[in-house]
Amino acid sequence: MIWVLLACQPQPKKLADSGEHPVVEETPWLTPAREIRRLSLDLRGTLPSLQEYHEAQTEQDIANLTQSFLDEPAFEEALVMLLSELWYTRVDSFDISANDFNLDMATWSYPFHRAVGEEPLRLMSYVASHDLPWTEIVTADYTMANELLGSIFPVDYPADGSGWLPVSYDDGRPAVGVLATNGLWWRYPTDSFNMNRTRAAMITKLLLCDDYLQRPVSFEASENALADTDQALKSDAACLTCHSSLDPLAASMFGFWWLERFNPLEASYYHPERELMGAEVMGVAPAWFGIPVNNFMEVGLHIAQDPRFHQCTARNMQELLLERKLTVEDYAQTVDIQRQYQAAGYQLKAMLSAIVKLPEYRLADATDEVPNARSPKMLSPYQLETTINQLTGYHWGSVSQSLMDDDYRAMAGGVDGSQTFSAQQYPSMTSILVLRRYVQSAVTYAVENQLNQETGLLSLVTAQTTPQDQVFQDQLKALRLQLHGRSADDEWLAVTTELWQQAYERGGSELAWIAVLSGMFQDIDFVSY
Amino acid sequence: MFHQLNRRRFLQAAAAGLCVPSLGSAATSSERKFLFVFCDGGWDPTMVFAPLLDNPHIYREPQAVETMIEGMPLVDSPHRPRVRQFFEQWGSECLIINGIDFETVAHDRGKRLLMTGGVGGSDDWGAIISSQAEQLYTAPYLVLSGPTYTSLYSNAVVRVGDRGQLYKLLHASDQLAGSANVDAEDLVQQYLQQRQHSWTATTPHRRRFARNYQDSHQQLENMLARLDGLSLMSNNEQQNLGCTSTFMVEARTALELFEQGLTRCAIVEDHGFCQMRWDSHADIYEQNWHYDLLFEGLMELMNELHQRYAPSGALLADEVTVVVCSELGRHPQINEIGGKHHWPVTSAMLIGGVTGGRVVGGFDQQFLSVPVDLQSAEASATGEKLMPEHLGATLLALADIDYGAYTSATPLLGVLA
Repeated sequence: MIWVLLACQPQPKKLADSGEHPVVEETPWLTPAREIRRLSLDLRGTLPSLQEYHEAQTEQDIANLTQSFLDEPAFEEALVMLLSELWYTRVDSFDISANDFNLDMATWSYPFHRAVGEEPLRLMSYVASHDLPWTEIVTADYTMANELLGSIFPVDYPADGSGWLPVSYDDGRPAVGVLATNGLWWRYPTDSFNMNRTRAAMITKLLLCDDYLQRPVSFEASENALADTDQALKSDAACLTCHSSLDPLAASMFGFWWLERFNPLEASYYHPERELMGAEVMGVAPAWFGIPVNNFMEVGLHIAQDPRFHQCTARNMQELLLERKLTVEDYAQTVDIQRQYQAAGYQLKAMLSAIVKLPEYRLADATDEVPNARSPKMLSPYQLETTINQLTGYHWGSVSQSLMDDDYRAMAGGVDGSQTFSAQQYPSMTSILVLRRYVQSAVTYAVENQLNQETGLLSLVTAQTTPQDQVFQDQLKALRLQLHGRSADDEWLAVTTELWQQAYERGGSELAWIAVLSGMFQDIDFVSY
Repeated sequence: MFHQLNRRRFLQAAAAGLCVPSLGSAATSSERKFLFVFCDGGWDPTMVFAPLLDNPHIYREPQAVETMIEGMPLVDSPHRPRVRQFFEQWGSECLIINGIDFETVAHDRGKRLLMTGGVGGSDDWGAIISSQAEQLYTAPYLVLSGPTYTSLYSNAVVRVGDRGQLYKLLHASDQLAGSANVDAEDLVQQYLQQRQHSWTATTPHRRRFARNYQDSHQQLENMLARLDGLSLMSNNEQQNLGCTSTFMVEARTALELFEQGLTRCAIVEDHGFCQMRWDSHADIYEQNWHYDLLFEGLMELMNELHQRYAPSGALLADEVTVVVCSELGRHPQINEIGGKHHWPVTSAMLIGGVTGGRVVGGFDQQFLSVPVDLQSAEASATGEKLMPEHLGATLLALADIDYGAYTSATPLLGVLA
C-alpha cells in the first residue's frame, strides 16, 4: 500500500525563486516548505533559515537538506530530547540531590538534575551523531560527562574541558554503554526487596520492546504466592513466566548494587566486588534469556547481537517521529527500515532518514490510505524554546535555569518522565498560556533589540517603515515563511497589516511589530508542524 | 437514569460541526463531578476495608478488631482513631469496593491500570469524563498532583504545578513578565481569533488539533477573567507540607473550582504521613499513620462538600463523587523486617452518587478476589472478578457517559444511586 501511495504522490511543487512561495493546498502532502520545517524541527529542534526554505524546491533538495540537518551539532541536541521521551531520565528529582555534593541547591538543582538525567541520552546521541554503530550504546567503554558530572562522578573529565565530552569511568565498571551510566540507574533505582528487577525490566522494555509489566500476574495460579513468595518465584509457573528470565538478568547487575540507597558515594561508584552477590542473594545464576553470562559486560554483547534489539530500535524511532503506537500492520515497514539501518552499518542516521521518507511522515493530513497519520504535530517545549530563543535572542530564565524546561515543561505539553509520559499532541489551555507568557517577553526583547538592525527577524524594516512601503510587505512575507513555512496570501497580509496598523495607532511602530510577532508566534501555523 | 441518547445525539451534532459546547462564564450544569484522592504506594486493605482477622493466612494486626459501622464490616484499631470517627459520621455515604484485582505487583502498571483500565495508551477516566461533558469547562481536569495518562484528551488537563506555576503564569508574575510590553495584547488575541478560522480541517486528527487550539484560547480567556476569585495555590506554594498535612491542602483548590463551575474532575495525591508514601515494605505500622491522616483529610473534605455549593445551587456533596484509591494492595503476610510487600488485589472507596453504607466485592481465604454479579453488585460464584476497568466503567456510568465507547467492562450497576 505504501508503494502505491508513493507512486501516486503528486510531483513536488516548484517554489518561486523570489521567496514568494506559491499558495498551494497542503492536503494531503506537506508543501516543500512545511516539509522542510517539520524535518528541521524534528532533526535540529529549530526552524529552517530563509535560505533553507528557498533551497527546498525538489525532493532531492529536501533529501540533501535532511542529510545536512543530520550532520549538524544541533541534531545531537535534538536527539537527546527525542530519546528523553522514551527513556524518561530527564526527571526533576533523584534520590541523590545536588546538596549531597555540597552544591548550593538554589543554583545547582536544575543543572544537576539535567546533567545526571542526560548522561545516558547524550551517550546515545553521541553514538548516533558520530556515525558509530548503534550497538555501541550497549558496548561502549565510555560515557558522556559535562563539567558538573566531571566533578562529582569517578570519570576522567579533562581539567580544561568544557561541555559534554566522552569520558571513561575509572571505577572498574563494565563496558556496557548506557547500561553503565549512573544517570540511568539513578533514574531507575532498586532496593533490597526489588533486587534489580526493575532495572532488568527496564533493559528489556527499552532495548528489546519486551515489557514484563505488560504481562498480567495471576496469583490464583500460584500455589505459593501467599505462603512463601520466594519459593513461588522459583517454582510456580505463574511466576516463572517472568521471573525465569528476569531474575537471572537482575542477578548480573549487582555491581550497581547500593548498600544504602540514598548514599551519594554508594550511588556514584560501581562496585566490582559485589558482582557475585547476585547469584547468592537471588538464588539464580546470571543469564541472558537462558544463556549463562559471566558478567554484565556479556549482557551488553548479547543485546548487541539480539535481533530484537534492532527491531525494537526501528519501532521506537518510528513511534517517536510518527507520534503513534505501531501495530502489527506496521511490521513490514519496520522490517524495511531495520534493513536499511543494518545495511548502513547500524547507523541510526540511516534509520531516521528512512523514517522521514515514509509517506506517513510527509503527509499534511491523514488519508484513507494512511488513516493513522498524526499530522499536524505540535511543537514540543524544547522546539518552542530553541526556536524562539534562536529567532529573538531571548532566554527565558536565569543563567543556570530554563523556565520552559524546568518549571513549565509538562504544562507546555512535554514529557517530564515522572508525571507525564507522552508528549501532548494537541494544544491545551496551559500550553497556550505558557507560550503566551514566553512570547510576550521574547518579542518585546526582539523588537527592542532588532528593529532598525540589519540582521534578525525585522531586518527589512525600520521604525519608520509603514504599510505603504514595499519592504513592509516583503518583511511580512519573509516572517510568514520563516515562522510558519507558508506563503503570505492576500487575506493573511490584510489581517496582519490591520493588526500592525491598530497597534501602531495605539503605541507606535515598536508596539505594532511587537503585536505582529506576538500574534505570529502564537498562531496555529506556528504551534503546529 | 442514563441519557445516552441525548448525549449521543449531542456528540454526533458536535462532530458534524452543528453545535459547539458553550463556554459561558461558568458551567451551571448539575452533571456529576469527580475528585480522585490517590494514595500513592499501595495501601493495606486489611487495616480498614477488609476485616479478615480470623483468616489464618493473613497477618493479624495487634489490637485490631472487627467492627460494624453504618452496616459496614470494617477493621478498627486504636492506632488510627480517625478511621472510626470518619465512618461513624460519613459511612452512610460511602461505598467500599473490595477485591479489585490489578493482576500486577508493580507500581507503574498498577497506576496505569487504576486510572485507565488498561496498559496501552488510552486516556484516564478523569480526562475522558471531563472531555465528554455537556459544556466546555474552563479547567476540565484539574491536576493538583497524582498520575495522569492522556492521549486524545490531553487538552482537558490543566496542571496546577508543584511550585504554583499555573498561578504565576495566570498572574504574569514579575519573573515571567519581565519587561514584556503587553499594551496590544487585546489586539493580538482578536487577531488570533480571526486567524483560527483560516485552518481547513478535514480529518479527525487535524480537526481535533484546530478545535483544541480554539477551545484552549477560550478556556484561557475565561480563566483570566475569573482570576480574582481563584487562589490556585499548589501544595508547595502554600509551604504547608508538614508531617501532618493532609491532601486537603491541595484539594481545597479543586473544591474552589467545583464551586465556580470551572472543573469537572480533579486529582490529588495522598503521600501519607510525612510524605513517606504508602509503600510500606519496611514497617507496616506506618500505615496506621497514613490511614489516620487520610481519614482526617476525608473528614475535612466531607465537611466542606456539605458546606459549599455548586453553581446549580445544590450542595457540592450532591454533585461530587470522591474516588479514594491506591494502585496496589499489600501482601497478607508480614515480611522479615515487619513490612508487607505488594499484592495485586486491593480495595477502593467511592463517596457520593453511589449506594452508601455498603461494602461490595470481597476477598477469599487466599486473599484473592471474590466474583461479583455486576447487576446487583452482590457476591456470586457465577459473577465476574472485579478489575480496575469495572471501577472505571462505574465512574463513566456515574458521569452519564456511554461507557461502552471507552471500555469493554460493565459497570457495577448495582451500586449506582
